[in-house]
Amino acid sequence: MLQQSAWTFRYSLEGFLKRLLQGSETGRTESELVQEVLSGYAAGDEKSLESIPARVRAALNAAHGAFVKTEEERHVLRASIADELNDLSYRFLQEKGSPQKHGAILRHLQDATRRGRGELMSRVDLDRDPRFARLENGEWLLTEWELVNDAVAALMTEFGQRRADRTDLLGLLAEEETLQGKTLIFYPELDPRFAASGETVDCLLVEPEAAAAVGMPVEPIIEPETIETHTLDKPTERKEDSQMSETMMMDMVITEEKMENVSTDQLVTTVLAQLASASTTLTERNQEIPNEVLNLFNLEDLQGIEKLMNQRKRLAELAEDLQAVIAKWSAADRAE
Amino acid sequence: MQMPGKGLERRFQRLRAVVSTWQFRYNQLPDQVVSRFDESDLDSIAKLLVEKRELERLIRDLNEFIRRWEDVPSGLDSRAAIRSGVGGDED
Repeated sequence: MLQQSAWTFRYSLEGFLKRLLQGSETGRTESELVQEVLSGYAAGDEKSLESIPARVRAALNAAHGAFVKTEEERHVLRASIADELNDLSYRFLQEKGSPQKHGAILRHLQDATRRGRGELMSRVDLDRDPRFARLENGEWLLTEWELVNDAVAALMTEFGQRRADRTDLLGLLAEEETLQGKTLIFYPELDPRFAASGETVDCLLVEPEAAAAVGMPVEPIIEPETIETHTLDKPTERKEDSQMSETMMMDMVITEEKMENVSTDQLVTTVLAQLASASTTLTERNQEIPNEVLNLFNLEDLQGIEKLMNQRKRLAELAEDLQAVIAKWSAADRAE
Repeated sequence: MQMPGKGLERRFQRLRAVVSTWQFRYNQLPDQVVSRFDESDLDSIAKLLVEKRELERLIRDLNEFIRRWEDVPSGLDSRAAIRSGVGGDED
C-alpha cells in the first residue's frame, strides 16, 4: 500500500509560494507564508520543518526570484516579465496543457526562434517569471493551472475506486464549486500515486482488496444513468462469470417474441442479422480485453488473467466460426 | 576545491534520477502486461507482478529517504546559509 504522506507529488517550494501569492495584490508577510508552507506544503514531513523558515526566506529574498517586498514588508509576485522567450514558453505550455520538462521547452524555443541552445539556456529564466511554477520533479507548468492530482487521489480514495477514466475524473472535479472556471490539470504520469495507461488511470492508494470489498474495483464514479456505457470496464462483473443480468434476460425474451412475429421467408435473414450483431459484440468485447487484463493485473489477480486468456481464445474461436457461418448463409441467402 | 554541500547535492540528484528511472519503468508495465497477455505468457505476467510490487516499494522507500534527508543541512551549509541569509534550498 502506498502512503500518500510519503508520496506527495508537489510543487517546488518556490512554485508553491507563487501559487499562494498569485492574484494577491496586498501580498503576505513572511511569517504568514511560512505558516502556509508548514501547513500546506511540508505537513507530515517532520524532518524538513525546521529548515522551512530559512528556505522560505531564501526563496522570497532571492535576487533573481519572482517575489518583491512592499514597503509594508509584505511579499507579492513581481509583474510578469515582458520577454519574447517567456511569452513563447507560456504559449507552448498553454498548447500542451500539461507540465513540460525544461528541455522540452528549450527545444520548442529552438525550433521557434532558430537560436542556439546555449543562448536560450542563459536567457530563459522561468524562475523569475511568476507565470511559471516548477514541480519538485523539475517539470514546469503554469501558475494559473489548478493541479488536481491531490484532489483526484482524495476522490478515488474516498470512493474506494482503484480505476477510472481521466475525462470522467476531471468532469467530476470541474463540477466542484472551488474549481469551477479554472484550468484543471491532472498529471498522473510520474506521480507515484497513480499508474496511467492512455485514458485509464489507477489510483494506487486504493487497495485492490478495499476496492473489491465495496464491490467496485473498477466501477467508474459516474451517474447511474451513464453506467451502461461503462460496463465493459468491469471484469469482475462479467456476465459470463456471473448470472445473466436482468437486462440481458429481458433482451432475449423480447428477441424471442419478435422472432415469433417474423414471417417465415424473413426468418433466415433475421437470424443472420442477429448473428452478425452477436459477432460484432464478440469483436468489441475482444478489443476491450487489454483494459480488463490491466484491471486484473492491478488487482494482482493472476488466476483471473489466466481465466481471461482461456476465455479470449474461446471468444476468438467463436467469433471466427460465427463469421464463417454468417458468410456461408449470407451467400446462400443472396443466391435465393 | 569542491564545496562540501555540492557533492551531497549531486548524490541526491542521482538518487532522484534513479527514482525517475524506476517510475518510468513502472509506467511501462501496463504495455508489457498487455503484450505478454497477447503471447499467452502467464509466467512473464507473474514476474511483472512481482516487479510491480518491488518497484512500488523501492520508489516509496527511496522517495521517503530523499525527503527525509535532503532538507537536513550539513553544519557548514547551514552556518553559511544563516550568515548570508540564503538557505540551502534550490527551489
